Amino acid sequence: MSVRGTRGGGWVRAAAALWLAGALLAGCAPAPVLTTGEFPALARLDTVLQRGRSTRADVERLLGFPAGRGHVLIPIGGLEGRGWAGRDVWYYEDIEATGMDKARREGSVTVIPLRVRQQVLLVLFDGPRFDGYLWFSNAQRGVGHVR
Amino acid sequence: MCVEPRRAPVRRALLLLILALVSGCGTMRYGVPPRVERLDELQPGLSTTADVLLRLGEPRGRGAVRLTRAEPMRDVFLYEYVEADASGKARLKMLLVLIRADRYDGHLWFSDELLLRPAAAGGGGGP
Repeated sequence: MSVRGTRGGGWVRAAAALWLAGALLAGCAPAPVLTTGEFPALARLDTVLQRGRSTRADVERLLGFPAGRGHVLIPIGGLEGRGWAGRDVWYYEDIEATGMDKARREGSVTVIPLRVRQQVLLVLFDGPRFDGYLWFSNAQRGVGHVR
Repeated sequence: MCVEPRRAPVRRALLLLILALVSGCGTMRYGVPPRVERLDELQPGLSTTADVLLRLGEPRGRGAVRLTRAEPMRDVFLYEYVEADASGKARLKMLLVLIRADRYDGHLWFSDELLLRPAAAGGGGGP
């Protein structure tokens, strides 16, 4: 990870030296600059799993053990109908803060752009049966603020 | 290190943040963990937007959704929490709440298992 200052760079160099010393003394591993993580084979979801037939065991066999869980309560019935359907959710993630860019000043706030790679897969279950999925990813940047 | 006096506090804070992140010793957090255990206190079609705000707090963001062509537009409240540990691995907990005509109308939440409390309500059906 490279860290660059906007002016002079003396304090940045000092920070880098302190970090190196601190990391060595504390025995901490440096944060990764860029790594790739395992993520479920999405292309196989539609070919291997069958909505209403595949079981939780089938999903685990294909995608592995989920990182977490959740729940969805979906309104159903159109304009006039009133009803809701609940579904359990298994949560698969691949989220990593891979580094940060040069800090900049915005008024009284220092903004530190962070590079974050994020992939999320939600698998829905109607009782014991696979009932669909939702997947999304981002290639955007988060920011940290120092006031 | 020479630092201008009026910028010293800012630079000190920035320095600490950078040190924490790059040394792999820090944990970065943003947002507030969504209170999904309180969803059971809301009744779809009956609870109001005020009830949602009272139980879940002010959302971090807002949006809208139309689930199907036949469905009306619904407002969406976004609640999220992210935590990145020393290795750079991040954990996410997110809650979307649907609002229709000032009434609670459903939700979607998911979370990394490590961010869940044992009493998390609203189903989930762990493996």
